Parts: sequence; structure tokens; C-alpha cells
Amino acid sequence: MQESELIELWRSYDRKLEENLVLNRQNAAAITLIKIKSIVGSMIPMKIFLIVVSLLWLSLLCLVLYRTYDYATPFFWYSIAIHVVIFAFVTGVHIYQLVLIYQTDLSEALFTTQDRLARLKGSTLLVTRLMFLHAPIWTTFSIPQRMFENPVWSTVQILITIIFVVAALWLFFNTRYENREKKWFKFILRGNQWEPVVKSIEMLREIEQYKTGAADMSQKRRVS
Amino acid sequence: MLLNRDAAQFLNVVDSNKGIIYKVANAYCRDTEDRKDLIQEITLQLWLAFPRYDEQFMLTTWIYRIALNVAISFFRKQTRRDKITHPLTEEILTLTIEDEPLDLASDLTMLHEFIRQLREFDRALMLLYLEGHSQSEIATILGITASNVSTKVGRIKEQLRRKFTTFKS
Repeated sequence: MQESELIELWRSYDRKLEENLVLNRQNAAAITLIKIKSIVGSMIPMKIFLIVVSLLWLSLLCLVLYRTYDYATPFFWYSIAIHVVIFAFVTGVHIYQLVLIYQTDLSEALFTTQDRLARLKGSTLLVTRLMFLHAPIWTTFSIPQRMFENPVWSTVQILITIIFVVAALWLFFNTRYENREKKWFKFILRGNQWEPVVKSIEMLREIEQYKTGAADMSQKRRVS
Repeated sequence: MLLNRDAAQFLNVVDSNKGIIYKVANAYCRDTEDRKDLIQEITLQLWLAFPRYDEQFMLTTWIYRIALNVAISFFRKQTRRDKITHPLTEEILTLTIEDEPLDLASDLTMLHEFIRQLREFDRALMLLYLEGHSQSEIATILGITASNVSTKVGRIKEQLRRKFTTFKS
């Protein structure tokens, strides 16, 4: 089909719509009476709540670390310290998401908005990976010094911690978009809330490809 | 229903540009019910953004940006937001004839079908191209360079041409 035929075909569709499409003014007017915020804007209160709670939790833990510095066991102190560091990163991601929400405007250019929305959703995967990373501290923070007097207990403890560390590191490095089709990924991240996350990352890559792919092609044309 | 001046003005804008809203919704939703929901969502987002309309852009550019952004986000979403927040069940836009020709082999039906098979961004690009927008207008709506638009349009047109040829032969 020639280009002109294609355009003419579309114009015929346009004419058909022109003649037959009717706006139901009453229904459209009802929309103007709905008192809600935009899709993205409605996420703001929840995000702010999450950030406030996270900051309070971090402050409390910092206080605990400060107060127990002289007498807490090293296991307790360092476990909590690691938790604070990782949780601070997680809070940072939530703040980044809040900034993205505030910046998102549906009337901006398609790629700009979709890139922002996809980053917003896709960063949820980073939060999950960070949460996996701090799993081992739950096996170490309550270890008492006297446990090491009993070789059996200490061996069991070390084994459990090693398993947790290996699993946490493995999950941190492998919970990536590239593994989305793997059975373990689908098993761990199953449920309706994960599909949009995976789709968002897919979209980010598509945006990237769209920009670089087309740029490469035009460069090739110039060279040839 | 008594409307304020903004609402009345908004309805006039929607009325004059209803074709854009319908065509975007039709390109992203084959299912009639989904399309109805998408039209409702686009109209709602247009209304929410209406007070912030920036006159440096053409009205159609502003409408395309919002409609396409909503359509692509809506398309990606798993759960339909309308189930929770939208009280409307009636249609906003009605087509007084069948929305597609009954002849499934017609060129227009095939064109719609081919457009729906394109990836989301390609679909937006093709829609704007068929609407007769210039490369720089398309670039402004999408947020990419005009040369990027030209490369992509060329590639999609070739894809469409091949599909038509295959189908007809």
C-alpha cells in the first residue's frame, strides 16, 4: 500500500468519526464534578507516611546505637548498624520516588512522563533487593557472647548465618529484570503487584532502545 | 446540571477534540468496555490538568500528550482504577454507527489491526503520523528528536506495507 493510500484511508476514518461521533455532554459534565486527585498524585499521602515512619524508625535505631555503644554485644550493635545503613538506602529510594511523583505531569512529552512513571514503578524492585540484603542481620543481632562457649551452638549459628548471607547476596544480585522468566523469580515475586513492576522495567528498556536504536539507524544512514 | 465557566469551556474543548480521544482509546483498547473506561480516564485526566494548560503549546498537542500518556499507563496497569473511584457507567463518547466496518478484510479494519499490533510507542508514533502531524510536531508530543521520528516512521511504514502485501497476497 502506498503512503498516499494509507493517509487517504485514515482520512476516511476521520470523516466517519466526524459524522458519527457524539459527545454525551451530561456524562462528560459529571466528570468535572468528581473530586479526586490525579492517579499519580493519589500516591503522595502514602509515600509521605512511609517516609515519615521510616525516618522515625531510623532515628530510634540511631538513638539505640548511640546509647548502647558502650555495653551492647558487637553482634547486636553491628547488626543494627547494618540494618540502619540498608534501611537508610531504602528510605532514600522512597524519597526519590516521592520526587518522581511530584515531577510527573501527564501533559509533558510522552517519553518524559513514561520514563518517570516506569522509573517510579521499577524502583520498587530495588527496594525489594535491599530488603533481601539485610535478611542475615536477623540471625546475628541476638547472638550472646556466651554462645561461643558451646561449640555445637556456635557451629549451628555460624552455619545459619552463612546460609542467610549467601541467600541474601544471591537474591540481591539475581533479583533482576533479566531473570523475570525464571521459576524462582516468579515464585518469590508472584502476585498482581509485581507484573506492573516488571512491565515498567520493560518499558524503560524500550524507551532506551527507542532513543538509541533510532539514533544508531540515522547515523548509519548518514555514514552510508 | 449547573456548570461553572471552566467546566463549560472544558466541555467545548472536549467536544471539538473528541475524535483525538476516541482514536487514541481505539488504538490502545480493542475491547469495548475497556475503551469506554479509557475514554473516561482520559477525559478525567484532561479535566484535572485543564487549569494548568500551558498556552505555549497547541491545544491538540496538550490533548495528545495527556491522552497518549494515560492510554499507555492504562494499558500497563493490571487493575482498573475506575472500579474504585469512577461512579460513571455511561459512555462519554458514542459512535452512532458500528465502530468498525463489518467487512473484516477491508483495508481500514486491517489498518486498525496492524496499528494495534505495534508496540506502544510505535503505535503512538503511527497514530500521530496518520493524523498528518509534521515530524517536529510529533517530536514535541513524544519528546524525541525529529530525526528520530523520521527514522522510526520510515521503519513502521515499511512494516505496515509488508503486512498489507502479505495479507493481500
